[in-house]
Amino acid sequence: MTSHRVSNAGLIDRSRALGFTFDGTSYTGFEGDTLASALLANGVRVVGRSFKYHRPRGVWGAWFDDPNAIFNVTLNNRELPNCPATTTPLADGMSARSVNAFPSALFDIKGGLDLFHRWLSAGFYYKTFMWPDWHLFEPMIRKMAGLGTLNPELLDNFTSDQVHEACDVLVIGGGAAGLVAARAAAESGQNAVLVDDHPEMGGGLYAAGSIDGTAPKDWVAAQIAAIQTAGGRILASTTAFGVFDHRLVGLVQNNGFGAAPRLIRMRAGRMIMATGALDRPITFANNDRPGVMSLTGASEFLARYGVLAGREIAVLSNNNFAEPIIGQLEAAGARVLVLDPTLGEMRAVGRKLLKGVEVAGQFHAVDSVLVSGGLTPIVHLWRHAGGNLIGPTPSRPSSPVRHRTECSQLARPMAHLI
Amino acid sequence: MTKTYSAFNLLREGLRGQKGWGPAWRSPKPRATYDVIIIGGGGHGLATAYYLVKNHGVTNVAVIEKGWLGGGNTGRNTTVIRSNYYYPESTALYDLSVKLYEGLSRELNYNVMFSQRGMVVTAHSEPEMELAARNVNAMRLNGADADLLDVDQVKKLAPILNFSPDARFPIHGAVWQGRAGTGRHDAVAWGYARAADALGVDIIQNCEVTDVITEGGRCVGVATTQGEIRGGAVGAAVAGHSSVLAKLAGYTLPITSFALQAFVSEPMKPVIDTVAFCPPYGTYFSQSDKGGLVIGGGLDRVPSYGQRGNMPIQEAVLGGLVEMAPALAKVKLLRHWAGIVDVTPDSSPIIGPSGVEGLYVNCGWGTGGFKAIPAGGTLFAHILATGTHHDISRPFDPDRFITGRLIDEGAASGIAH
Repeated sequence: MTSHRVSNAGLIDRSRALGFTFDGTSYTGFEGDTLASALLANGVRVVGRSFKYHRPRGVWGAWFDDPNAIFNVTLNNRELPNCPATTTPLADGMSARSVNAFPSALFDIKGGLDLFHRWLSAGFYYKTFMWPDWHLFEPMIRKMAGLGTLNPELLDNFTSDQVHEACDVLVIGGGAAGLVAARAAAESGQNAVLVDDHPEMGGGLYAAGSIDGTAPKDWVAAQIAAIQTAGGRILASTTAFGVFDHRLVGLVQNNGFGAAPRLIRMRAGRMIMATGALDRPITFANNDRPGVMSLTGASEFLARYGVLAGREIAVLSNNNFAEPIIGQLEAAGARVLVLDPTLGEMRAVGRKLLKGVEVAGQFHAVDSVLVSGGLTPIVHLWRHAGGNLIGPTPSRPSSPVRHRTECSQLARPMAHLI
Repeated sequence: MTKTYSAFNLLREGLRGQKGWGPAWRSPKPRATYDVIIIGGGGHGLATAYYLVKNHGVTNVAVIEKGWLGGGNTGRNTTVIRSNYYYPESTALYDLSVKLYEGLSRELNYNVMFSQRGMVVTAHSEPEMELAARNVNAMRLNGADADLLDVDQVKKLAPILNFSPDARFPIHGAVWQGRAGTGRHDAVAWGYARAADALGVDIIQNCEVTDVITEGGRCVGVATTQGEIRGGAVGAAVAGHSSVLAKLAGYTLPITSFALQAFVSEPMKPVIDTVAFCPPYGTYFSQSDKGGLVIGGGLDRVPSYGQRGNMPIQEAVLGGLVEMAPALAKVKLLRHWAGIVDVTPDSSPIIGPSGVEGLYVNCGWGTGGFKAIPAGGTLFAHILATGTHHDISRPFDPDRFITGRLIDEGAASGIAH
């Protein structure tokens, strides 16, 4: 048994079923799903292949941190290459194809390349293909590389407006910290704008279970109402992609699948980056197998989409964030085995379907391994703006330090590493 | 230890976990003196060191680099290699480079993936076709390859371009250089570094020049973050920071530094096999072996040492790209960055004495330094070893700004700076 939908959790609207296909097979999901969550709900494990060795890959994370579920997606005859399934909202009639795998992610004719990995190590191509000439080899290598396929057909009306805007305070990230910051800014009479790349505000709150003793959904709605009442504005499905000179922030707003996104040039008096954190992977043999997932990712899939990663779950964590998540997984009906990585070498067993995990020679039969290597603050924009970091030290990852008055990074309190 | 890169050794090493390869280059501590010190561990500096040993037998050479190898413009360019210039002096220089690139992988025993996929430079009106014919004739007279293509031939080579009569600039034809192409930029730096190191060159990274040491008006070495290093001759190949170094040493160069921005898209299955440049849009692009579109345009119009992109150029270049190849509108951008280029009044490089005795410069390549690495290295090594010009480098001596014998490729071949 693999991942499946549980009956009572999530933000999805179970009254609205949506039909879609993946690699030619039909499935059903719900309004509010992403392509990735709908596939997990249907127990689909293999969603792609690795770039070089064509190893089977599954969903790792629940949002933009997932590197594996990348599809060519078609909706209403509009095809886009390389859509990350974890950030693509599901729509009725969507058809998705895995990239760089033929005929499908599950049965890829190039899967055998993995057998030659010892000869195809990092940078092997610098050491060979020189005689008689690189041209002899290059066309074949070019065909094998690349991910999705660009459909050369032109999309009609694929244009969007460009907007020049300004605000006193731009808050980037609509989790708990961002919502509170935007509310405080708006209520103090400043022109405040809050952006988040998710379709809904709330960030990691849904996975957290409750805040101030209320359900995240209600608390988020209350904050949004307060921000809007005070004159603040909220831009959902909007990604801040760069902080340029003179406090110019590039924002790109998703206008729905197949439509050109809107470009907003936001001149911000001040920026508050409340961008949250990412869970790190942990290295062990075969840690890229389908069924090995990010622990916080699994927690997001459960809280937002009502999808449980597995029934027999092993958790591998080096920090104290894992405990509440283990409780959620158990409450949703999973059996959880907490692994002790200090016992010895660890490896995942199974290829397309995870059979279990071996720690120090002892085999444990599980269908999923959820991994948490600790949280790394998301500081890409902060660094782009010229911000500095302190650390990392052995006990904590690097964290931002204040460097300029018009820009602040809110860092989530770090997990205590065990 | 396995030293030679080959398919056979790769197979053999595969059977023992690839553990037999030695490091591609050492990380030595700087010695007190060298015969030649080269400032700048990018393509030009490393190539210079390699040719100093190989062509001139000067073995006591140091390359000092403030950051990491190839971390400047060698690691930031759009990897195009071509020699489609107008003046004989330029063709001699850039075609020497293309010729050297053609055998470079085998010579260095390192696959730099020079891929001669050809380059189209489109023409968008009948007068432009006349100019294109003139350019083709000039290139052929100067000994480089060139062809004039009509619109159907361009369509065959690059069907993704905009051939609609309603295009902002309809395509009438193009200048084609079949020997042009792209290379794996990092590999060029690494290949030269490995080959130079094997010949005994000391490559010293994380070693920033803080001062130039002169005695009696002659440059005798440099002060660095790793101590004083003295040398018989000092060569500077530091691209966008040439004017910074000039200030330290007390000479002046007719150089203005600008940011030049570039972009890479998400990786896709092949959509274009050539390098395509449409001058009126100010945009060019090719596709890397990994599948990403590599996109470039003109430089920023504001002098700067800030290695970062900005939104106005982003709009100009990508707007041009989408008009040039409308199917690319739906493609997502992956990365965007800038390098600092050193621009001269006539858009041609400066190779020769700096004005301070014993200190020589290789700079002024502007937006076109990567394509010239093998030639720049060959010519600069000749100057550092002999104190005199190679025939091909003589026209590029800085004295041309006194004599007025400029080589104005900005006007002649319309390069983007």
